[in-house]
Amino acid sequence: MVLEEGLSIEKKLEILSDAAKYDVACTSSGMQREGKAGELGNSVAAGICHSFSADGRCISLLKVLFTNECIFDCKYCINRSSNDVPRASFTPKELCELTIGFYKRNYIEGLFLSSGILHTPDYTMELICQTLRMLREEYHFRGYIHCKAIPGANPLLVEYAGWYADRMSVNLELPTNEGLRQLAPHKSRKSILTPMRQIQAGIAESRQLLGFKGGNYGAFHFTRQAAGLPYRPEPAIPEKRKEGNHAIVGIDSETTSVERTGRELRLSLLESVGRPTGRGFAAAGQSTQMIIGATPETDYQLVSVAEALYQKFELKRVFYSAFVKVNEDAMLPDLPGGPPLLREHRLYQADWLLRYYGFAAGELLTEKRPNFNAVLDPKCDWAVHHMELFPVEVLQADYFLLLRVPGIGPKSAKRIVEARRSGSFSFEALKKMGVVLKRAQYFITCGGKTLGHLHLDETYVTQSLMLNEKLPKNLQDALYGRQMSLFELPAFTAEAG
Amino acid sequence: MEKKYIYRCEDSVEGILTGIYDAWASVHRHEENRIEVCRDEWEVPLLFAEYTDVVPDAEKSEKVQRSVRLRVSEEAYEMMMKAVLSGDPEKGEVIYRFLIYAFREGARAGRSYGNPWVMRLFEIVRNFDNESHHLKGFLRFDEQENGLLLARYAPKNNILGDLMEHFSDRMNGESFMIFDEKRRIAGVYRPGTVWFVYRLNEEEYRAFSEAYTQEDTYSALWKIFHRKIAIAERENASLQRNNLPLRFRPYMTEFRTS
Ligand code: SF4
Repeated sequence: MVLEEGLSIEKKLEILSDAAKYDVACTSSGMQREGKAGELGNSVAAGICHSFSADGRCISLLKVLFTNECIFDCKYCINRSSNDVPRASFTPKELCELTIGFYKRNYIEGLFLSSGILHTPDYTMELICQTLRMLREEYHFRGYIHCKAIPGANPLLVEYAGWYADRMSVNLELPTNEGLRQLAPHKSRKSILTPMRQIQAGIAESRQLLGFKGGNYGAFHFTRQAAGLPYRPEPAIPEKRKEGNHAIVGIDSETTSVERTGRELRLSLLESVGRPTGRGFAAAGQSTQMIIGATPETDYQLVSVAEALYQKFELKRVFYSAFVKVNEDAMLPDLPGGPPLLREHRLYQADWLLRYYGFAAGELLTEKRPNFNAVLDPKCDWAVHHMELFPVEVLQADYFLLLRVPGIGPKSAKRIVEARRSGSFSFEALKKMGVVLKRAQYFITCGGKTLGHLHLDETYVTQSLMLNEKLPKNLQDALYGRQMSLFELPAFTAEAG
Repeated sequence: MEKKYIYRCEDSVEGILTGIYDAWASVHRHEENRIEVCRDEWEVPLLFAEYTDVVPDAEKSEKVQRSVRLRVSEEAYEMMMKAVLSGDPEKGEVIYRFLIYAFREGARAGRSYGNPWVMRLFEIVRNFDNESHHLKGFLRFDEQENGLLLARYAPKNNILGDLMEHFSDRMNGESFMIFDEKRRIAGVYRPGTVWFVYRLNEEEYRAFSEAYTQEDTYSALWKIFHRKIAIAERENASLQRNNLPLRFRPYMTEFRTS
C-alpha cells in the first residue's frame, strides 16, 4: 500500500473522485425539501443535473470515496488492497468544506459518499457517520446526501447514517454468491443483504411513524403483481417475512430479518437515543448496483435478481454498471470490445419494464433463452415471440395489455384509456397521444382497422422493428459497425440472443 | 392582398399585453390584426400593412391579466406569463391567437391538444420550463472578494424570476446576484430581504462583466473533479453534447480555461 503523508486537498480529491467514478448512480432525485432560514440548501424531487462528464454521464452529486485505503481485495476494483496505487483519506471536516464550497457555487446538488474499508467496517462507517452528522448539524446542510452502508458494519451505525442521509445504498456488485466468492472474497451475500434489509425496515418505519416517503410503490406493486404475490397498497414494516417459498435466487433465505417493536415504543425510543427524525430515514429510498460482465451470469439471472430486489427489498432503483477492466487478474474476463455497453443498455430497458409495465423477469427471458437480443429491445423481443397475442384492439384492450404493445408506454396507454371514454378515434389520434406507430403498427388494430397491411410474421416484424430502433450513437456503432448477415437475425438462429 | 394592421410592441409584459389589448379594442377583425414584438434585428416591413407603435400601459396590461385569470383559468394565465417572458420571436402573435380561442372556450382551452395555437403555446412554455430546469443545474456562481456570489448567463428565455425563486430558497443565507448578459438585467438577493430585478446601466454592465470570473480554490477543485469523474473507456462526446449543449458552456466553470 502506497501511503502518502500530508497530501494536499487537490491531490486527495484527485485520488478519491477517480476511485469513485465506477459507481454509476449519481441521481439526486426522490426528495422534496424546502429551504429553511439559517440553513443551506433544499432538495428538488425530480433531481437536478449540474454537469455532464466527458463520458456523457450526469454529474449531480460530489461523488467521492471517504478513503481508498481498503483492507479488502475485490478483484475488479482499482482500490483492492493488493494494488499498488496512491492512497488517500479525507477528514470529515475536509469533506464538509468541499461539499459546502461546491454547493454554494451551484456545482452540485449534494454529496454522494462511498468508501473503501479503512481498518474495519465499523471504523469506516463511523467516519462516514461523523461526516454526515457534521455536515447536517454543524454546517446546517439541507441539500441531498446519498451514502453507502458498509457491508459488515454494526447495524447501529447503519441506522445512525440513515437518519442523516436522503438515499442509502449497498452495492450487490455481483448477482450470485458464486460470483462474489470468486471476485469479492471478503464480501458475502449475507453481509450485503443484511444492511439492505435493515435499511428497508428503517424506511418503512419512517414512512409509517413519521409520514415520510421512500421505498418504491410502483416497482414493488408491479413486480409483486407480475409474480402473483400478495401486495398491499402500503407495504408493512417487514417483521419476520415468511416468504421463503417465494424466494427467487435464494435472496430471502440468506438474510436475517430485523425485528421491530410497537409504534409508540419505537418513536419514544428513537427520541430518547437522540435520532434526528426531522428528515426521515433515507426517505429518497434505497438503491444498489450490479457489475455487468465481470462474471459469467446471464441476463436472466441479472433481471431475476433485480426483480427480487424490487419485490422483497422495495428498492427505488437497481443500477447496472458495464464492467471496465482496470486490473490484470486471471479471474477477470478479457473484454476486447470494451465495456459491454449495449448489454448494459438492454438491462436498463428491461429494468424499466419491471418497474413500470408489469412484466415478470420470467416473461422476458428463460433459462433456455437466458440473454437479451442484441438487435431488439426487450419489449419488442418479447412481442415478436408472442405473435399469437396480437393484434390487440386499442379501443378495447385493458391498460396492462396496451402496455405490452411495442410503441405504447405508460403515458400513451393512460391517454388511450381516457380518450376511449368519449368515443372511438383514429390512428392519427393515436399518434397525437404519443403512440409510436412505427413500432405499434404491427401489433394493433384500431376500430377493427389496421394501418397498412398487417403482416403477422415473426421474421418480417423482427426485421422491420430492428431497423427503426433509435439507439444512442455509440451503441449503434457497436451493434452495426460489423457487417450483419441476414442469417444472424434472431428469427433465423435456433437460440435467439 | 388583404391589408394587415400590425401592432408593434416593446418586449415586456406591459408592452405585449397592451398590444393585445389595443388590437382587441380596435375596429378591425381579429384576422386582420397582428402582434409583433420588437427585436434588435431590423425587420422588413410588410407592404400592405399599417403599423402602430404600442405605448405600454400598466392599466391595460392589468386588465388583460385579470380577465384571463377570471374568464379562462389560473393555468392559462401562468402559461401566458411564461410565454411573454419567452424568447420565441412569434410569442405576441401566439398569445393573441391563443386568447381569442381561450375566451371562447373557457377553462377547457388549456387542454385542447387539437388547436394549433394551443399547441404552439405549449411548445413555448415547454421550452421555457426546460431551460429553467437546465439552468437550475448549469448556472455557476463565483465568489467575489466581498463574499457576494455572482452568476452570469445569457438564456434564450427570460427565466430570471424562476431562478431567483429557486436560489433565494436554497441559499437564503447568502448574498447573490444573477446577471443576464443578453437582457442586461440582474436579480439581486440579500439575506433577510426579498429578491428584486433591475436593469443595469452601461457602467454597471461593464463592471459586472469584468468582476465575474474569479478563479479560486474551489473552482480549481471543481475542474479536477469534473475531469476525474469521467470513465475514459466510456468516453462519449456526442452524448455529452446532447445532454449539455455547447451554448451553456461558456458560462460554466468546468469548461473555462484559466
Ligand atoms: S471493498 Fe472492495 S470494492 Fe470496495 S473499495 Fe475495497 S476493494 Fe474496492
